[in-house]
Amino acid sequence: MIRKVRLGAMPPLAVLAAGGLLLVALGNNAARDGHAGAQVLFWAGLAVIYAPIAFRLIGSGAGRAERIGLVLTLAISLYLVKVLRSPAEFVRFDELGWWRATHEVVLTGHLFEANPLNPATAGFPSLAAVTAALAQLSGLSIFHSGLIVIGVARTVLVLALFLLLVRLTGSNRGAGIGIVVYACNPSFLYFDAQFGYESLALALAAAFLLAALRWSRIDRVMLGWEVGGTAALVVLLACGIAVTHHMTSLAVIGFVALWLLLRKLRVRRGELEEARSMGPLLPLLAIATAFALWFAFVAGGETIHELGGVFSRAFNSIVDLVSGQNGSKRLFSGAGEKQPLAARALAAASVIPILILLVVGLRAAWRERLRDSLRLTLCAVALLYPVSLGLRLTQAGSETSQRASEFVFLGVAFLAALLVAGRDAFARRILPRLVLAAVALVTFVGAFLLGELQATRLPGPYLVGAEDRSVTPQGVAAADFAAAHLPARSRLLTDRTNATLLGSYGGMDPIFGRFADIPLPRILFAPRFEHADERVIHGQSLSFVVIDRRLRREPPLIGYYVESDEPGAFVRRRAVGPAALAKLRLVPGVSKIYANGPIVVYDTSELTR
Amino acid sequence: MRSARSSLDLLAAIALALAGLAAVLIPLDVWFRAVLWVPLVLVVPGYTILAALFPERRLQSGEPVVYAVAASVAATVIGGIAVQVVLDLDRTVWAVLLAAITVVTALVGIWRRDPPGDRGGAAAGRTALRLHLPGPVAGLTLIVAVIVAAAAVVISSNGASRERDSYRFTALWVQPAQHAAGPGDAVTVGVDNHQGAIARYRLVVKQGSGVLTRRRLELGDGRRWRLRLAVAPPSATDPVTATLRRNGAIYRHVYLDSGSTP
Repeated sequence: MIRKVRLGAMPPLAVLAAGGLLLVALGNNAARDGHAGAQVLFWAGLAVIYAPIAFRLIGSGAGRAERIGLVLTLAISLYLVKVLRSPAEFVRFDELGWWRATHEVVLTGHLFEANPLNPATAGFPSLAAVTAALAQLSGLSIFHSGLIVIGVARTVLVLALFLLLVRLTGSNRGAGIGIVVYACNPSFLYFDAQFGYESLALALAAAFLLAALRWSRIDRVMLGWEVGGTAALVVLLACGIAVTHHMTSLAVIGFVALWLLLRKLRVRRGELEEARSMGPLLPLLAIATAFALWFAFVAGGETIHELGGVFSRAFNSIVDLVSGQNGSKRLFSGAGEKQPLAARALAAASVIPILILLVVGLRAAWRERLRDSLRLTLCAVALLYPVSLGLRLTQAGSETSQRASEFVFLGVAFLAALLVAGRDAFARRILPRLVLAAVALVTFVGAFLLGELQATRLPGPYLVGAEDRSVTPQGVAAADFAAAHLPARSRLLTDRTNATLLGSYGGMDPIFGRFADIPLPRILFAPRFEHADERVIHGQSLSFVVIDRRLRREPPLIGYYVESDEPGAFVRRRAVGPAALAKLRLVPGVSKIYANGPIVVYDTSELTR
Repeated sequence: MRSARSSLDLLAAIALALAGLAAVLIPLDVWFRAVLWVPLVLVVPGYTILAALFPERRLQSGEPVVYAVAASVAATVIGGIAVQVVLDLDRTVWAVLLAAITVVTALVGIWRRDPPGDRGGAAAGRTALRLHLPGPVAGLTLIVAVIVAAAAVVISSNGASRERDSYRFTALWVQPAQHAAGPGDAVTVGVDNHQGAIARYRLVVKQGSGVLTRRRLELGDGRRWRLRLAVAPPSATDPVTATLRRNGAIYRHVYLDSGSTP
């Protein structure tokens, strides 16, 4: 049976959003060529994508199908903005780590292979497995397969959140506005759209919450296929999340546990309405058991290594800040860059509407005597937003804040949806809608300014230690040489960007960290080659050292050349000297085997014997 | 008849899975395989799992899409983790795994939609498939949107390609040859031209003070040149050096087993 679906203004708005993508593409090209006007084109493109859809969703004229079409148009268009940033290859650190993990699955046929770029990939193989399956079966490259997997995940994430908000508020309009607000989380535009396990896990988590809500509302006296089917779906999705991403698993466990706790408290206080339904016990047991088993038998080491580092760095930097041992970081700027005043003002301004929304939304929830444990849980999640802002006062806390934003904004989006559900009066007037759409646009743009380095928002010429902007054809050529002519998985030392390229396309094993308390990066930075360097090369069996001579141009934009705890990280004022980068040519037994101008490969294997 | 119609979607899923299996064995164009396997990896297994779990299709609109994709991903990963314990995950293994999930759960779904005691009865009526499509004007407008978005991707790709080509360089390298032709050692010398145009070089390869070879090279953009040379074992006193000159000046210099500079 075929039914006609009414899409209203969605098709023309999709054309408009596509026009916005054209502007973004032209802005990217202008930035690549170093032309003025690149910024204007890029930001105008973002505004053309976001603002008209927000305006339409705020209004009351659209039906359910049109709203679903609009939120999907928004999700796909904003995903394509990320794709347009680097349309031919992965360039981000995490993406290249996952490229390596996927390539290993294709090469070896095994999951759980060690990955020096991102050790966590060995414990959470979902993204690599699905992408490898698609690449092998379709014949597409890992890059194109990865784009498809993350694009589909992104679509599912937004659709699942929309349906969740509809179920919680009973309002399609509220849910649409909730998605407009969710897109304002600082990770939404680039970080959560990258080829990484979190991007996939968020979609699974949203689907899981939708299924958990479905389960929780089933009547306790009900029996039959519906109960069994929903339970099986919840368990399947819980297993899916547990093997995909540690932080998402923990966030979901925390969320469902709080939901269960609030429900128990409400039932104990004699509010028996919820006691008649299944509640969140099964979802909690499913996700907690799945993750506990996965943690205990497979991925415990990787989880502790990754999350332990993130949280301990954040904790230490907060302690340092409070005790006065270290100053706060410059707000709304990266380590080695200073944002223009207008950008910093916009980033700061973007926080204000969210804080106002929080106050007004919670007040409305209080006045309406919100009597549902899940809604109360979402209110509690929204309250974490000011805490996440506080974390941004420190360098390491910023990372935690950034990573928490996609979870915290679920609560914020709920409050937005709750606030507008059933309040249609202002939605029929043009001016209030225009004002709200403008505020939403400022929040969206400001959040992107907050979440992404100025240098990496658009493409452009090479910069030192600037993530995407440091990837150039010379680095890729050196990685291709390594893949073709050096023994696979050779251990080597180099800067972060070349480690990423050589560790992925090159098939090498870049080494990080310390040896006998000597930081490995000293081999790159020390002005002379000394006994300590020789000890490190011998002790770590480093077969190659790769030098990028462009490092001497300026200090690294992200604050460090190799890793965040290297000597001089975040406080370095001068670039590494040319003598340090050239010293290996004077060392007996070291061969210079490759040179392409900026990049030189030294063979140090003689020193390991 | 009614039963077959109510499970048309699941029969189509089985046919698609079998077509996918066949596509693994027959050499086909990559785009044809992609069109076939993208849904078979990311949607169809989850859809048939849903059909097996919820035979009466009582999910709200939109929910089946969410659950189908999420369940597909979960089933693919969990299946892959289980299978890789005994088999390497190559193309055939993935194809058989995904086709098996699809076919088995689709058959369960067909059986549950039309149980033996209710053949052609109420369940079949409840499970009739409904397709929602936009009108012709809306459909055409959406096609225009897709074309414009595709144009944006092409424009950005061309820009990225132009940017990549703007980096002009040449790579020179020397490596011990892995399989020397005769007694003694051998090295391979390579030159890769990324200058964006035909480039002319002069290459001199020496061991110690003795010249092994002198070459004039003319390489087109993107072209590579390789030379294998027999040498004595390189050492600190007898290094193998390769020097590339361009426009009369030393342009690149590499060496094996030496700390000396040119």
